[in-house]
Amino acid sequence: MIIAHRLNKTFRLPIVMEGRFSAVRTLLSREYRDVEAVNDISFEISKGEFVGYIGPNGAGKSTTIKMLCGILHPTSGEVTINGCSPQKQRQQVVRQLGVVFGQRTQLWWDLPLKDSFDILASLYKLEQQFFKNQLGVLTEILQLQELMGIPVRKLSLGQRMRADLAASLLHDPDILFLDEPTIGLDVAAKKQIRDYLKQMNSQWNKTILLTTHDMDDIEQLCSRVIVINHGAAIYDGDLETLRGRIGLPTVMKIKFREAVSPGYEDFLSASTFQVIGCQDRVITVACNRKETTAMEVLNRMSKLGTIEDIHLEEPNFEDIIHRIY
Amino acid sequence: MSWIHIYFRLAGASLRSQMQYKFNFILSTLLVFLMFGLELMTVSIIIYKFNGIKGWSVYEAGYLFAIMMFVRAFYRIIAGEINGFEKYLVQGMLDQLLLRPMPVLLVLVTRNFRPMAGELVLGTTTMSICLSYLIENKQATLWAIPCSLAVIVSGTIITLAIGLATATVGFWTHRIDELQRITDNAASIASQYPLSIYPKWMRITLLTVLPMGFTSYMPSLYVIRGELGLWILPATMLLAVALLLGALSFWKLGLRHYQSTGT
Repeated sequence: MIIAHRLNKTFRLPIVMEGRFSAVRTLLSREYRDVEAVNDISFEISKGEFVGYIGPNGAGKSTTIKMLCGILHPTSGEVTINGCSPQKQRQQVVRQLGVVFGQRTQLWWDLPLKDSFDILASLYKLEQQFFKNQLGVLTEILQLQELMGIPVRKLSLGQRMRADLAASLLHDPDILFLDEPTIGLDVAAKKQIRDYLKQMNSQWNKTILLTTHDMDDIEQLCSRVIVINHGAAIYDGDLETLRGRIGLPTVMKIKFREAVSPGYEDFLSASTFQVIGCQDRVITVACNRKETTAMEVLNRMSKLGTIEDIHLEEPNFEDIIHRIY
Repeated sequence: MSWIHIYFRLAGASLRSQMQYKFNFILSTLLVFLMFGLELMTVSIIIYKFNGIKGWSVYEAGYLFAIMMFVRAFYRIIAGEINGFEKYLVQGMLDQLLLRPMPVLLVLVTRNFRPMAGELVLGTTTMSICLSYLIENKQATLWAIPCSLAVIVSGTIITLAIGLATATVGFWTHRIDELQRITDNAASIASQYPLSIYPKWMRITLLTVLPMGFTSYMPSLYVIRGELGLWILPATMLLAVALLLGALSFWKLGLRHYQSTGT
């Protein structure tokens, strides 16, 4: 059970001076700029949930996660994880957490992978038998057999992510925090990681909180979504409802055989879609496929001339979030 | 007990990592040997030529030098990464350490573990030469040997405390390399020589604000010159422990102000 209660985090950054001796003057100056990274966020996550935590860059996702696992202390508000505060009882809480930061590794860079697991086992004071079993299971599920003897620095990104996942699960934590676990991976590796995560959640009943920029991650994994923008939580619920709210915004580029005759704008002005651009033979329109169908748009457009080619595009999720909230 | 086990486990891992780059490892050990060896030789030749400085013979000065050699070596062995702490703050590397179920400091000090072989060999050689000369000339007795050990222990603790306190300042200022160069590096080099050669303001600084004068100079006054009295050794040890406790609670306060970095 994870409870975040009215979390706030304000970073106080010194204002950087310009000009001569800027470093010294910045050091001595008392001027600060307060940046609110997280603003009054509250939520509760129950055991076994798979929650996607999404929002644009700089929205405060990582800051929230770092407060949840005790790395950062909130300016105000409180976190409890299974009844303990990660700030006050850090050592006790982190024992129940598995954390993966997609852009950093927790493995020992220059040593063979196997060594990292051995070291982690003694860090977490795992019993020998438990460690052997756990590593055996993880090695099999995450297919690490062939990687064990290779120094971590020589692993590919996808291999390293699998190893990092195994490392975060070695002490059998109840809760997993994953900060962009699929970042930089190719399609195959992404799918692999998703399959593992699904298994961790459904078979091993791990509670998982995941941040991502990849909508497919959310769609395939998360039963619940929390959307954050400018440090505030703006949506908390299931993906379907969020979809309903957003609809299916689509951008269509329609290419005609000949140049479009002027006056087309008047003709299209009373439509269920908006013209957002026109270039020579190509007209770009934006519509919401909840309100109108692509066929309807094409039907109407075909009155302007012979259509040669069409191109459909769904704008990326973060753009939409920016627009609707 | 298990913490000590974990310390060696982590330190061993760090050492094995460095062995992946054997050439670099051997070269840096040799360089230390060469650097400090040259410095020691130059200084002793000069002191010898002038028949001592401010009443300190070449063997007495050599003794101070050796004490600091040991202090620096043990400080770096125990807590090398404290001296390079800035990168943990600026690059957010501290995140990972905070996720381990043990004191952050324990994980930190085992990173980049170095055995400091160059310093230890040079320190032992210098110390043996100087002490045996002083004992032969009845200026000191065998009692100086256990005393020297005590001085090295208290000196290491003082240096560690000052280093830790300096690193902690970084939680607020982020950049600490410059500050460390003064408190950690310059002050320990200054303590290689008798404090009496420095101007008054510097002597006072090294005995108050930045009490590195207590690592070697003050206790050595008793050990090899019979000044002050035996009380200076326990007094120094007391000061060392007090400084370390102070530095540790300052460190705990600092951790609350850690800001990490964006991703």
